[in-house]
Amino acid sequence: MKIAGYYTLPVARERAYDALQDPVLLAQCMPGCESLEPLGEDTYRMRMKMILASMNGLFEGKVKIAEPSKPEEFRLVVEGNGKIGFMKGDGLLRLSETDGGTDVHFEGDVTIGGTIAAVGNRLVDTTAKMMIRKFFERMTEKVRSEAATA
Amino acid sequence: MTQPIRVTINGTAHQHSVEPRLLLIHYLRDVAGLTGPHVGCETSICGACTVMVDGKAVKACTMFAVQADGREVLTIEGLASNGVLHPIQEAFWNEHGLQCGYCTPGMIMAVKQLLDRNPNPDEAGIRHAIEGNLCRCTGYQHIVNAVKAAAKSMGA
Amino acid sequence: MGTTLTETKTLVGQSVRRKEDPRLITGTATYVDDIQQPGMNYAAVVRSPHAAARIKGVDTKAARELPGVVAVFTGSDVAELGPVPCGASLPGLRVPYHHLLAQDRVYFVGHPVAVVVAHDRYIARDAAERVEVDYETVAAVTDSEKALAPGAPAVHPQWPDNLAFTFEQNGGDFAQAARDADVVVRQRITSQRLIPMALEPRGVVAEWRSGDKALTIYSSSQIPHLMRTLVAQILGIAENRLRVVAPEVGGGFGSKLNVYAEEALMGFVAMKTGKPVKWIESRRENFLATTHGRGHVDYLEIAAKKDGTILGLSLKLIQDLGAYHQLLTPAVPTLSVLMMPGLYRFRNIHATILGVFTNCVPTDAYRGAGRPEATHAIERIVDCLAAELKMDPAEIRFKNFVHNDEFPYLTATGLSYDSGNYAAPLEKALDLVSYSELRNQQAEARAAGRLMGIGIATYGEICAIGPSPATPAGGWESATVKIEPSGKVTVMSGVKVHGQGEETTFSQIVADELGVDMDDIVVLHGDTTLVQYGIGTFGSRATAIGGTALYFAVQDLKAKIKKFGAMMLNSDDVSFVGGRCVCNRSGKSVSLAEVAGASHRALALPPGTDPGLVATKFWEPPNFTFPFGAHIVVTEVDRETGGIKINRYVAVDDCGRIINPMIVAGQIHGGVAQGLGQALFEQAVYDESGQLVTGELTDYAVPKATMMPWIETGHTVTPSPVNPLGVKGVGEAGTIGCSPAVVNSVVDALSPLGVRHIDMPLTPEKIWTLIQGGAA
Repeated sequence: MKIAGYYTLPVARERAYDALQDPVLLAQCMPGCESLEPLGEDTYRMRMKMILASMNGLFEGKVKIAEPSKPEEFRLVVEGNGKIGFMKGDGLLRLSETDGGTDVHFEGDVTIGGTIAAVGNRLVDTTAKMMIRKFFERMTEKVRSEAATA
Repeated sequence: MTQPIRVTINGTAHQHSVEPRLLLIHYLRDVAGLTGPHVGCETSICGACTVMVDGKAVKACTMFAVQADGREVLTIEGLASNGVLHPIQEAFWNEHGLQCGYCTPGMIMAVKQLLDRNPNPDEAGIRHAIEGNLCRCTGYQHIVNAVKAAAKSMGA
Repeated sequence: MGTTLTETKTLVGQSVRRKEDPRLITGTATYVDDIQQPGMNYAAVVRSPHAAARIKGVDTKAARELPGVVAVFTGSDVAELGPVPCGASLPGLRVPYHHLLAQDRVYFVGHPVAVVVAHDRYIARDAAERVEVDYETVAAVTDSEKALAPGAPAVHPQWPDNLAFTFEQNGGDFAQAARDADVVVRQRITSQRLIPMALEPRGVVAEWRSGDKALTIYSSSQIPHLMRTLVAQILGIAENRLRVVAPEVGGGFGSKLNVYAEEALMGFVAMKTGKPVKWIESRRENFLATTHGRGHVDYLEIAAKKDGTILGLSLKLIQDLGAYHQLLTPAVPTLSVLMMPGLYRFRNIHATILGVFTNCVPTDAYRGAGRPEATHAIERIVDCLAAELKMDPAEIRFKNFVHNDEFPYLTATGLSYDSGNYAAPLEKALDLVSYSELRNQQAEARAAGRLMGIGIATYGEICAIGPSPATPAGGWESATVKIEPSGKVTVMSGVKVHGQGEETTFSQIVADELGVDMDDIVVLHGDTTLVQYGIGTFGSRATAIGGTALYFAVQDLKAKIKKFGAMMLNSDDVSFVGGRCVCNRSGKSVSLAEVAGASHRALALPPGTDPGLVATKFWEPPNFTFPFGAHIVVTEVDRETGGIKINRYVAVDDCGRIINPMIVAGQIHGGVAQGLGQALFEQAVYDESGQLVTGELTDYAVPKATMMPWIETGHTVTPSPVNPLGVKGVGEAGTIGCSPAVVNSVVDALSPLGVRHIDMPLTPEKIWTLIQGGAA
């Protein structure tokens, strides 16, 4: 499944780029994320709780930042496995300067399998969109309050 | 961790200690030893597990055994009395309202609820009432006939 | 000894209520999941969530450590057993080795990878989730046409073209027919993948008695005897030490005409653990791992004269096989090809089958098995031809039917149609709907802007499968009839009744022949220890072949009864009528019970006659039977929503002689429901990565009571000369006649908008898009 869109973060591009790669911030902003620990350079181990319709389950997986090209773009590769199935995502994030901040354009593929695919496929699209929206809303909040205290 | 429950099944009191996660259908089958209610989907779509709890038709895969504590469960096994078939059972037999028989115990319980509430349903009402019970064999037509026949004999 | 003769009316032909029903309507029947054994464990199967992946490792430690877990088995434990059998043989067929559990690779979502055995079913499932499998995914392909494209991912790496077989069938000269034709109409027509969805999922209980080296397998199966032979081979045990019991079976529709890994696996588990074990399929597993049906893409060309005379038909059939061959997977589309002439007289056929591997669960027989697909394709293309020639769809069919004086009729595909009067059911159906008046109503409806459609489909089918040379495992059937010393009758049939009512119809046959009460007859089936070898129930064969074997066994028995009667009556001129042996001279008689008692007591025996009254018959049919019929469907399409309303459904079927009209009607209704499911609602959908997105009943639309129209049934009766009962078979007729009639009707409704063909299922979204002028 293809996912694409953009969101505007109210900070300068360099700061937006750093924030999107900060494991502490990422863990705080990703819906359901319970932990994000460094595993190696640009790779993190992630535990994430996912709720999809009547199903919920804990996913364990890896987040990898690839092909970083500061401050324009980087790729985010996510892999998770859990009792209710597996998910894989591979997306390109492009950052461009805009009035009042930075536009983050994202474009990628999400694959799910197992029970969530059999039962929840119809809902994956909307769930993914909702999670992305929540992520950016939280991120906006974080970087805004950070800017205010700075 | 188990939890004690008391359930009256087809008029007989039962007392067991069960896991809170045990589904009512698995309690009825595996613990209480019934063979009438069947498991067809575990997602509350097919209706093969339909039983009556305190007089209401319930899909026994959507309820936990502990939720039936203190209640009365009626299954297909409790429908005939003293060896005399209930008029709905008789009608399903006469009208060929079943083939493989797997949906039948649940189907009959759903029909019982319908006729308890509406003794004289029309065809659309019958089809609506059994919409939550799948049958893969009959195409439902003989079931509709059976329900009409049962309504007639129960009204008589 | 009495001296009066009683007049008996025949039970054959009457709507006798079923003998099997009392146990079913009281909830006391025994399906596999109702079987409890002392010390029984429960098994859960760990299945692949990936359509294509290499297995780098399986870690069962966490599962084994869970309290209550007895054992966990993985691919390496069963590497030496198998394979899961494919019974079909075609020239050049590529058969991948089908292990009981995946070895180093998985080929479809749902592929069994490990088996967990525990003290209860909840713990077994908990433990299954703790089995850690390290997968490295590789590219998958789920669409049969994409699988044929160069560069497509290879399902089996050793066969990069994904082609399991090609098969050609030619009759006459289609190329010449196309040259002689005034018109050649072409159309791509699909029969989508379906999920059989018997209401009872599969299930197995296995029990091993080590002292006797004897294994018993209870399985929800249509073919217990074949299963015994094949599972014994898989496990490497002696066939006579394996007992297979198919207890009450909650529907099959072809999905239980198979031998699956789980049957052998549970046998293996019981032998390894020394304890009985039960595995019951969940509905999700049933969707993922029990065979699917259909999966055709057909490219058709029909060549005809301007007057509607069909000259020939060409077919390229792309069959989605899935990742493996189950028991009959590659054989199913060959039935489609045999069926291609339908009821028509044309002599030129060119057909090619491409059998294609995909990363999906295997397809196999599903109600009709190849024949609904063929009939759908023929009846759609004939309607396309009628539209092209601006002919009435009834008229073009009448014009091309095989004539009544041409039977037995040898088709261009080499079949010999036994008997037929093909115009009769169509005439009757047209009468029932008042066809010409209906067309007038349609004209008025169209003038008012309404989308009303009238769809006609006629069909022929191959039933009573079948003569042994035409089948992979023998096409005969068996019956034993025993008259007990008390005169009660026990029948043991080689078929496996699972909803079709043969306990009743067989009793009707026996009751008439022996003059006994229906209640004095018990019909046993489905237990390989009780019953002589048999083939099973599928392909509308149980009554036509199993019933005939029974009929002949009874005839043998009657000859013996008469010998005892003659001895007891001291007469050389004895008849057996109404359950009594009667001396034709004195009128004196003895009852069957008296004969039975004397034959077992054996104080005296007729010359050359053994004690007892038992007869067994294995009957080989000389031919298939060929039922036929016509279905007419009147629909109205809602312009605003694309919804389809069926206003009339008329089915006129000719299944030969009818033994029990009520049961025949039930078979037609149920068949139509499955045909209608295919036409309007059902489709197994795999996404590109191989996930089955219609993985539960929440997303796979099986017809509910509110989705079914009232079905008006009628019959014509053309007895089959193939068997003495004159029966043909009716189990699949409804399904075969239905889907083309429905689609023809909806296409007819939309024809004013220029619509010529729509592929199933006819979802409102698809229809709405067409109405809006888009491509469906």
